[in-house]
Amino acid sequence: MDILFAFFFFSLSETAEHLCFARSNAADARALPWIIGGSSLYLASLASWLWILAHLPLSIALPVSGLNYVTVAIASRVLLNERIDRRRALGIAVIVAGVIVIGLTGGGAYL
Amino acid sequence: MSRFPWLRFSLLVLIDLAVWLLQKRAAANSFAAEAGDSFFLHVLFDWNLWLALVGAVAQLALWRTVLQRADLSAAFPLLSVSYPLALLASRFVLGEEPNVGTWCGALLVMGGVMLLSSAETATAPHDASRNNLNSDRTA
Repeated sequence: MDILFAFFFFSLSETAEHLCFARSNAADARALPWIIGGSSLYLASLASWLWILAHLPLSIALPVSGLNYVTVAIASRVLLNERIDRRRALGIAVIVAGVIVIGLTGGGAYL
Repeated sequence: MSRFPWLRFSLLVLIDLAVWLLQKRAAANSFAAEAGDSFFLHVLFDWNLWLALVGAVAQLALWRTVLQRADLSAAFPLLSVSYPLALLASRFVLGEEPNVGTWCGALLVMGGVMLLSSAETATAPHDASRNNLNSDRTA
């Protein structure tokens, strides 16, 4: 349960970090809050990632962290109005399938 | 577009692997040593973590030079080969024993990341690997 929560926090903080940095490309002081926000979220995601690594083998944790690509794609769709075309939708499905396979073949025992 | 910068790219992947291994070592050390004081405080003083951060910064610089020589749409999807390679590294360096399911899952994740990051409309997520100081990899 703790592991699940840690992954949730990891995913949330890293996704928010990417969104902040996506907004930070103004060349003036308006970028500053996004950079500060993004950097703080980076530290939060790094902390949760290290906690996850302390409790899981790297060979399980790393592929599962690929889920962050999915959450970034969805968050970009919802908050930045980026399109999810057919190829991206397939990519999301394949990543999720991969994580499910890992969960069902032993990875789930760590939860 | 000139030839793909394989040497730089391979170095990038190798640093990817090194960063993950160092992070894992830092986490494992602190987990083992945790006695009373906090895990996070302990890991903060682990040199493995700081070396991993140095690696991440070096990667940023290297990634920029790769992008001067190759298309983002070619280089970014390719970077996901570090998933299966990291499984090899975890097997031979850390002594983990990923089973067949884990291998299949990692290959699927690699395929999915390739699809996701090669989409024509790609405004890629900013970094290609987790936990790098990543804000401007695509810049």
